[in-house]
Amino acid sequence: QQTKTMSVRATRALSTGAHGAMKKMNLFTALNDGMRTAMKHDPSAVIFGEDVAFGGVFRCTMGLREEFGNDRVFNTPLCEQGIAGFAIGYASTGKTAIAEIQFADYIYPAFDQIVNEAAKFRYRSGGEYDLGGLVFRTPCGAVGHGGHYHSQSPEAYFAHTPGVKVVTPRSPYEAKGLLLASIRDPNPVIFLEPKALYRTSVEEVPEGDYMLPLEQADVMRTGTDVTVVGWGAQLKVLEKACDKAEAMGVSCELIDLRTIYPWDKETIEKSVRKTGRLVVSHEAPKTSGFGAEIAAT
Amino acid sequence: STLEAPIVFFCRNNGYAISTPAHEQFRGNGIASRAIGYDMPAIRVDGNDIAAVSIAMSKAKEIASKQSRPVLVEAMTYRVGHHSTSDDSTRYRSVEEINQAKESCPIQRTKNFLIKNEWWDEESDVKLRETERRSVLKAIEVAERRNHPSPVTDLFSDVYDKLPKHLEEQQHEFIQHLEKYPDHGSAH
Repeated sequence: QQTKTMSVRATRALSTGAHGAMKKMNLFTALNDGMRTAMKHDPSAVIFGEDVAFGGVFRCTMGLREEFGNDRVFNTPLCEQGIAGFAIGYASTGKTAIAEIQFADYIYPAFDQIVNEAAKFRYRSGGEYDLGGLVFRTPCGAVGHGGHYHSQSPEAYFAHTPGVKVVTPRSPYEAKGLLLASIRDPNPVIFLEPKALYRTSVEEVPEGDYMLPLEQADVMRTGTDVTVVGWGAQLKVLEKACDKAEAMGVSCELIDLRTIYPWDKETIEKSVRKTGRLVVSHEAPKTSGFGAEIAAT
Repeated sequence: STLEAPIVFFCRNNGYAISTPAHEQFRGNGIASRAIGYDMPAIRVDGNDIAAVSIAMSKAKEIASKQSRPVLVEAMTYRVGHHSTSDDSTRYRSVEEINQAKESCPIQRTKNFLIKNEWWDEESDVKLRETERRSVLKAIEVAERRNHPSPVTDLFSDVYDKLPKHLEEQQHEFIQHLEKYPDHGSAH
């Protein structure tokens, strides 16, 4: 099983045009590397947010200030509304803004900026202006000791907001590729990073520049009896669940949605037509969670 | 302030937020007094005096660019009209209050100032008003003759750079719906 996964990785890395060299990275290192790549190739790119200058509370921005300077990597005041507003203003000039919201649980003061300003910028200007270079990066998800305000998964709120995209990686290889794709996508993207995986998820990641496609789900394993859909950290749980099911003779097709909104309905539909059964599992509350949208479709 | 950005923040204080007067919005010395908390200099100016506002803005710009810091300008005025066409402001303020404010009308004061300096006269004023009035009415006429936006395209375009699959599907469903019920709207 592991060998199969590794060779699939290598094949994919080559097929996306990644340069040969690979390196073992955890999630925060892969994200760090992705940001470094983006900053190198795009002189307009800046990174800002609370505590990003010294490296960030999860070390995602380690070394970036030293490499790119104070003008491109800097702290903001403790004000998510301001971080978002500033990011929107910066991106509106055609530049790349990589804005960090320290915990997804704190994104709500920025909600008005994201929903009423960022998401509608292109539409309300009739396409004359856009926020192509805008990405909000934020750690999300349960970590065991997070409590009310360091554990949330707010993807469903943003999946209800046309004009933005919502993306979440399950592992380091996925993270670097999806982050680079998100930064370069010509629409504002909310990039949710499962904090439980920052240290614990480790794999070989291409050292070069590569991207993974947005709005495209990834079939992690094929099966015939049931389609299992998830995203982010939950896939670790689902992998174990599928292993248990397989030991009981149930063949599972496991799919990582990757982009939650707009989601890859085609891949899920194709799978469910084959298996006839669908299970969606996510950390966020069940009612009106994104699983509800998938189930209803 | 923290980024030492040269910005002029212009705040027009017209005394009301729909029906809620400033006294019910905040206490303290207007908006200008808030600036000090952010280490910003503030200038309060008679917002109905065109020359005063021009001078205040020049000064604000000079401070902002020379000292590389944000500056706040609070222009004092009064909302003579209703908040919107759905509002009847006599329901929450007196007609006397409105009429008194009209005496400070910035357009009238500018006119008086120009005439006093002999840069303008009453006859030219009447002529200009008539020309502008006709021009605005004509523009309204032209605008009203324009085609309404097409919901079939304009509800879906420019939400993203490219129409994503799910919006394309929704657009298709919408067109089918309109074709099924042509009396309720056209797909074209």
